[in-house]
Amino acid sequence: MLHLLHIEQKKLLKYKTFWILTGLFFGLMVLVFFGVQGFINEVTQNTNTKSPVAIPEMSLYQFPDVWHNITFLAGYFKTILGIIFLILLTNEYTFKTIRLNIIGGLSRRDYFTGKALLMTALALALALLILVAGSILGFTNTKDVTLLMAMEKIAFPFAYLAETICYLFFVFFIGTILRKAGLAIGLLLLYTYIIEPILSFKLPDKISPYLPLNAVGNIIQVPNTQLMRVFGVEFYDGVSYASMGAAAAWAVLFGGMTYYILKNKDL
Amino acid sequence: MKKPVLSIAGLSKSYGSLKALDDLHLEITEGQVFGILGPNGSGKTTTLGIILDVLRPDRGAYYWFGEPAHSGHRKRIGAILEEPVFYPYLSAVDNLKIIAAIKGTDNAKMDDVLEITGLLERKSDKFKTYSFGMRQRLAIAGALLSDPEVLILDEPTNGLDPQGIAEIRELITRIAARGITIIMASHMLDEVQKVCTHVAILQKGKKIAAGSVEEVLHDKKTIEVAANNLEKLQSTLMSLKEVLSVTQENNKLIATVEDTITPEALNKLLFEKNIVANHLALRKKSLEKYFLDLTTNQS
Repeated sequence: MLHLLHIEQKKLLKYKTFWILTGLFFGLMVLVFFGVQGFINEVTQNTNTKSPVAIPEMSLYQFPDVWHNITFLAGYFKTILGIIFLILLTNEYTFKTIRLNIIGGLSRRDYFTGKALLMTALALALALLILVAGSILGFTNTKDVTLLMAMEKIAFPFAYLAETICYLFFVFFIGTILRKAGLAIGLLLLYTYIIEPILSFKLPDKISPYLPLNAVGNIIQVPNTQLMRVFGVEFYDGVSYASMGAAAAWAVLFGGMTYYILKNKDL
Repeated sequence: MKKPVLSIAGLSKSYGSLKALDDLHLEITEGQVFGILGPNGSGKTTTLGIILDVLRPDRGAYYWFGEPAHSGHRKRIGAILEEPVFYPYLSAVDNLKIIAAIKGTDNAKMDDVLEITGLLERKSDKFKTYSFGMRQRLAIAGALLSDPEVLILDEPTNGLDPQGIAEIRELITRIAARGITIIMASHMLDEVQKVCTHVAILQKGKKIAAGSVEEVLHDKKTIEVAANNLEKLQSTLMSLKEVLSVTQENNKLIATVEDTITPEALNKLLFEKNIVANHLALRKKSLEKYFLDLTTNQS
């Protein structure tokens, strides 16, 4: 197994495009995590000058809520990771190097496993970034901080890891059926921002949360901030394990279909 | 009995209505330099693609080293399929390291294979900067990296200049001399004649002939003969010094004769021995001529 990850690593170690894209993405995430408080403060101050009700100042960075806040934010950016993974997947078809792998002696199953491991490694790296960023933000912004406070909602970074892995199985499927970078990225964006939102709108409320990207996105729901309470909305405050179950079921389905295609089609 | 290397049993594959491969059977044994000869579109690359698990057959099976094929077999095989494929953004060495990692071999032979293929000086340059000839040679270096028992080459001299062609052919002959089994697809008759020991000729996905190169691609004259008593005819033909060999085909005998012998002359010789032939025909075309016609008609 690790041998397969080692092969994937050899393909990427000197691939500049990959490191530039991933570096930019991780940099953007850090910028968002550390800048979002300033942005929110700006908005609340501006609004307060016009608003009849005072909107309370709030800190996004206090333990334990920081975990929920930044993982929810990070959820919006996983499309970028999806695009990076799609580029790596479709490269193997564009350069025909998938043939190099199979002719060299990998089984089709090995190839699938290698890419699934690579995908997991990418998701882990992102989760680790969140863990580090969250710790720095939490420890520097929480009054009378204790380790217990830091650990209270630590489930969120792990839930985010699950969210990313489930999501990347969906991306893996798209890359495997379409094979061309442009087409695959196009379909991913079209589905994410147009097709599934329309489906959600048309389908009954009982079903729409279980659409693939909805299920994945609902694992970590909108944080229950003071801002929301002002509007009288109460959101679910923990990790949604029901959504995680649905997302995992989709991941198994997409993973299974991807495996079937890789196993049975001409390469 | 030589050890089996590859057995192909009834492989068929279609692309839509086009039959790329139609019930192909082949046997390749250890030490052979086996040419798969045929015009473009005859199913050569499809065959190689299937036995390397890059393409899936509609029907049929293939066996490597006498066992049902699995991925472990391919670690014992070095292969090139169609054009050379490598990661363009990596150097020759880094690409070869990936092949070594896949095959589970060390990098000890890296410089050797780069030396053999004349790429040692350019080994740190990125693959995308390589010329076509260099790419082809790197593909051969990659195929040789793991000390393979079998080498599969798909049109290895395609697109090379005359000097490059000569170099590659010489390289193949040297590799074959080390006892490595070579399976080579080619559309060039003279290439197969120069390099191979055995050959199968494909046309539109069907095997039309197979055997040793001498058997299949000989350029000797052949005459079909038949008589009421085939046994007597056969022994008589074999006694004639002008007849080089005799084989039976259905109820006819095929006599390979010296170039000076015409059907009339053979008839006269037989008549002198009290045999009346009831069928006598110069074979219109040897397979070689047939193949040349095929390829020239195509192009």
